Formats: sequence, C-alpha cells, structure tokens
Amino acid sequence: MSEPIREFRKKACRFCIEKELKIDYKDGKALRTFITERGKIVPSRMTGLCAFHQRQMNTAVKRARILALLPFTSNHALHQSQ
Amino acid sequence: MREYETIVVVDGAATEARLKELDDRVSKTVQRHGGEVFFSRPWGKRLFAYPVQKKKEGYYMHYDYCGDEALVAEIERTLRLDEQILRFLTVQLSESVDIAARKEQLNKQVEVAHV
Repeated sequence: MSEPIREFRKKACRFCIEKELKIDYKDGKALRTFITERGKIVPSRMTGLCAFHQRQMNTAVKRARILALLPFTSNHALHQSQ
Repeated sequence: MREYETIVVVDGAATEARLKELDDRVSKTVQRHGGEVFFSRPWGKRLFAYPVQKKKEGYYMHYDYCGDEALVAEIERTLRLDEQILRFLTVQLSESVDIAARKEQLNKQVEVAHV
C-alpha cells in the first residue's frame, strides 16, 4: 500500500491579503512567528509568504537581531522564549 | 531632505538624567543641521534577546527626524563616542519629506490613538 499523495494547496500570502498588516523590524513579538526555536529564519515554503514579503520579513528579522530584539541563536538566550 | 529613524540602545544601568542628556544631544544636533525632530519615543527598559557587552537589559529610544546624510553621520559619530550606548540602528524612511504634511499626519495618528 502506497501512501496517498498529499494534496497541495498554495497558501496565500498573509501580507498580500491584509494590506494594513505591515512588516516592522521594531515589532520583535510579531517577528517571532517567523523564526524557529533555534532562531533561524523560516523559509517561505513554510511561512507561505510571497517572494516580496518574505524578503521584507527577512531584512526585518535581521534588523531586529542587531537591536537584540530577536536572537541570532538560542545558544545565548537569556530567557526561555515563549 | 530625507526622513530617518534611529533606534538607540542604552545600558540598562544608565540614569534618567543620562537619557535626558541623550535626548537633548540628538535634538540639538538635528537642529544644528537644519533638520526637524518629528518625535522621540522611549520604549522603556527591555530584556535583550542575547547578552550585549555582558549586559542583560537596556533602554530603547526611538527617534524620527529629517535631515541630510551629514546629519546622520554626525549623530552616529556622537553615539559611537558614548560608552553607555550599546547599539544603534538608523533606517531611511523616505527619500523626500514635506515637514508640515508629515507633522499633521503624525498629529492625526496621535488623535486617533487617543480616541
């Protein structure tokens, strides 16, 4: 018995649907949804973002890391992330 | 004239007077270069996501202003001289800005926030 073929449904980009939603590097809490527990940036195939917004999110996370709003890695964490 | 915003991270051990001094210094520098400060917003004390110079927390300050590249260079130079300033990041918000229109827009936003 072979496994059933998984059905693919392209997720629509969250930021394309809701135009009011803005990607902001200052909002560390919102950006936490786009990094893994280890602190890595989640790929677009997981986030479902379009190329444009994935790129925006990417730079936003990197800026937030500079300001110590987000971690580069969980190895140096000061507190347990939620 | 371009619009910029700068986030400054100050050592968590800094005093109130120290933060005020930073405020003054930024606004004076901006004025000296013919710019305009739209707002300065303290975020308060926050825990870092990772230790910065062995410190665990710091004060965050958010400045929104307009000016030219010489102004940004000057602000960043003075920030670098201060040892209690751990990090800063300047981002360009727009290429050209109408000072009066931008102020009005910000005022409206504040009003909406109060309602």
